[in-house]
This record gives sequence, structure tokens and C-alpha cells, in this order.
Amino acid sequence: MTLQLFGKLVRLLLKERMEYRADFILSAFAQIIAYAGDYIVIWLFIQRFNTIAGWTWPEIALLYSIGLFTYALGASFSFVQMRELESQVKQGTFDILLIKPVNPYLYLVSRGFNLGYIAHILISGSVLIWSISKLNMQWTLSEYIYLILVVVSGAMIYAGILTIIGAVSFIWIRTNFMFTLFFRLKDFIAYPLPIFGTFIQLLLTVAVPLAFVSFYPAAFLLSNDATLLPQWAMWMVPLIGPLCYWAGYRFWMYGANKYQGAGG
Amino acid sequence: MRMYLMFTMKAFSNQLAYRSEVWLRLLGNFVTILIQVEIWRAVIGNGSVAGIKAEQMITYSIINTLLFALLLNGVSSKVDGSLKSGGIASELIKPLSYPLYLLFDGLGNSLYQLAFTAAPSLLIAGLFFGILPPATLTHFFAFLLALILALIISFLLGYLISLLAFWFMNHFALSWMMGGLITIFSGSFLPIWFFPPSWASVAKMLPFQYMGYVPAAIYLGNITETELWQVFAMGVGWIVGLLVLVQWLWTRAVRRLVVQGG
Repeated sequence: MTLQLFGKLVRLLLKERMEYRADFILSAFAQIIAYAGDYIVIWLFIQRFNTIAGWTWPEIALLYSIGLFTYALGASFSFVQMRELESQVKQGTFDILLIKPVNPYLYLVSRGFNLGYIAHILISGSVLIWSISKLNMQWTLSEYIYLILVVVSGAMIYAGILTIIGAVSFIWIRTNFMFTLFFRLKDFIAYPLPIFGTFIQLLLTVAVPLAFVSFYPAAFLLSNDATLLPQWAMWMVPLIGPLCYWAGYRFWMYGANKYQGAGG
Repeated sequence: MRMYLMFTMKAFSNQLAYRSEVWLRLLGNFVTILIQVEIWRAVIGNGSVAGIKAEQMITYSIINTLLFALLLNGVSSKVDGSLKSGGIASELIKPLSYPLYLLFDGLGNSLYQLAFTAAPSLLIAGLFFGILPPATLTHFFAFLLALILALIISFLLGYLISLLAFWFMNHFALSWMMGGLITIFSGSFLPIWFFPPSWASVAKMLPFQYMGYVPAAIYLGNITETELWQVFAMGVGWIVGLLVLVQWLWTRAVRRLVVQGG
């Protein structure tokens, strides 16, 4: 599948969404309110306790915003597509995808490209910029490049994990609960990881590499060295995303090749 | 009445079909509780903040996490489903009260969650993190009463959202907005006693506190026996107010109903 085709699909999707413009804007507005709720609760928390594990409000805001921003980027390419896979497999409509003369994964991902995440991007992007300016950090060009790289990598980590969960529906059909579990695990990285024990930190570093999405990058950018990883490893963090996404893609293609249909 | 109880049983047995998900649900609850426990241990430690110890906050978090599984906010997505599919038309011609059907159907789900998620999760959490007993016997009974208030208020709010969706045709946006308000003002993560004064006074005027803060605070005895009357009176006031509102909206919504396909 070419980039041109992707561009065309996105234009189509945009037209589709703009058919119900007021509805789209209402949805985006609602999501901004919902996430503002999350930010406000953490802000209220820090009003009372000053810091969480030594992290101040702008630092937590940076950590949380990197997590949300990368999630929005990654999920727009994966979440809804992979969640719907379950019912597509169940009803047999997935087969239609397999007879199209394009790579089924790329088609599924771009046909379902989700513009709905614009609200996440807006709120997390604004808070991210606010927190960087508030923290008054003496950043050189390399820190800015690092930030961009970890954002891309984080998005790929999310997309990779969601892709793997989606591929499980080829085997088990029901995957709904794995998504719920994923979101529960994702809750961990809203906070500085050192408050959790070593086991949780290892779990999120090795088994489900969510710690690489926001915690390690933020700790590195804030020169906070209370992490499990040594400093030199921090420069490797942006490599985790591509690795994760590649693994997800391979697993998904493997599952799709094994796919026998669930009757339907 | 018997007919409605049948809906409760039906919803309960429908849920039984997904027994295999119980383990994952228990794991999910455990993770949610663990996160909160670690946060409170980190910020309070062995001392106390504003007279609150870490153990109290752990009990508070456990109650809130489990309560969340029982609440009936989900009713709005059910109405939305039949609104979009057009199935609402056939729901309305049945000789029964649609809102009551929704309530009893939701209660069936809650009952299932209570038996298969909340009760075992309580046991697990008690074993791992420890739970304080209720402050006094009075507080325990008041807590049970507060649970009923929580169920009714969560149902009415979810139902309100689903009625508003008759106009906005976007149940999704409305429930996100209410979700944001619930996150802050239910106090289910950060209790209202830790709020800055101005925020606390707003939170104490809203109905969302009954879906998290109030039951847990009563259990822990942080709402004194003299205050209990006031809290319950206001809760009942909210229920009456919401009932009037949804009843009024319901009569208008049915007249407005546009079935698209179906």
C-alpha cells in the first residue's frame, strides 16, 4: 500500500467526519472536559501534598502529557481498529479485508485512522508546552530532538501493544478484557514509577514496556535519576518504540495467516 | 413488580455467560487498588496528613474501587444502543415502564458484579493491603444506606444522560463530560477532605459525591453521626430533584423521538 492511498483514505475519512461537523466538535469538546478532569484531580492532589515522590506539579504535568499525547498518536492508528477486530472476526466480515489487493494490516489501520483523537492531542499538547515553559529548562537542540523522538517512539509502543492484543482475537476471538487490562496497566504510568515497588517497575520495563512511553523519557529530561535504568541507556529509549511496533506487526501478520474464520 | 425482578434475574444470568472474565476483572481491580495504595503510602507514609493515616486511605480506595463496579452509569449506553438501532420503538410499545426496566436490568448487572467481582476483590484486597473495620455499628448501617443512595443517584444520572441524548444524538460526548465531572467531584480518588476549601464547598453541593466520597467517608467515620442526617437529607433531595427532572424530560423525549431506521 502506498502513501498516496493512505492520503486518499484520510481525505475520505475527513469528509465523512465533517458531514456531522457539530457532532464532531461536541465530541472533541467533551473529551477535553473529561481529560481536564484527570489533570484537575492530580493538580488538586498536589495542592494538598506538594509533590508525588518528589515530582512537582509541572513535572507531573509533563509526565502525564507525554503519556497522553503519545497515546493519542498511537491509538489513532490502532485502538478502535484492533478493538473492532473481535466483532469482525466473529461476524466473518474480516474475510473481506483479506481479499483486497493490499496489505491487510496497513489497510485496516489506515481505513480506521481515527481523527477523534484530536481532542487528546490538543489538551495534552497544550499542557506539555505549558509545563516545558514553566519548568524553565535550559534545553539545547539535542533535548528537543530527544523529545520528538520519544514521542514518536511512545506512540509506536502503544500501537505495538494494541496491535498484539488485536491479533489475539484471531486465536481467542474475545479480546475485550485484554484491552481493559491494558488500560489498567496504562494507569500506572500517569505517576512517577519509583512510588511503586521494584516488581511493578520491572513489569512495566520488561514485560509490558509502558515505562518507556513517558516515565523514562520524562525522568531523563528532568535529570531525575531515580530510575532502574542507567543514564547511558536513556539514549536508547527511542529505539524501544520501533522494536515494539515491529514485533506487533509481525505477530499480527502471523495471526492473520493462521486465521481460519470463526464461522459467521 | 415480579416482572421487573425477572429482568434483574435475566441480566444476572446473562452476565454469567462471561464467567471466564472474572479472573481478569479481579486482576484489574487489584491493579487499580494497588496503584492507589502505593500513592497513599508514598505521600502519607507512617504519619498522618490532616489527621488521616495511610491505612484509612487504603480502605477508602478499596471501597471506592469496588463501588465503581456496582454503579449504574452504564445505563446510558444501553439506551443509546437501542436509540441508534431503532429498537427503542419496540421497547416503548411493551406494556411496561421503560425506565423501571432499565433500573432493574442494571441492578441485575450490579448484583452479578457484587457477587463475582466486588466480594472476591474485597477479600483479596483485605488480605494484601488490610481493611479497617467500619467506625461504629451506626456508621456501618449508614454506609449500607449510602450504597443504596449511590446506586439510585448513579442510575438517575446515567438515565439523565441517555434522555439528553434524545436531543443531542451524541450519548458518547455527554457521558464523557459527565465522566470528567465524576472524576473530580465524586472524590473517588482524592477525598473531598483533601480538597482546597473553595473546591470542597463546590463538591459538597453536587450529587457526584454520593457516588464515591460519601459512602467511604461514612464507613470510615469521617462523617460524624450528627452530620449524617444532613448528608442523607441532601442525598434524598438530589434524588427527588433528579426524578422530577428525568420524568419531565422523559415525557418530552418520547414525543421528540425520531427513529432512524430500525
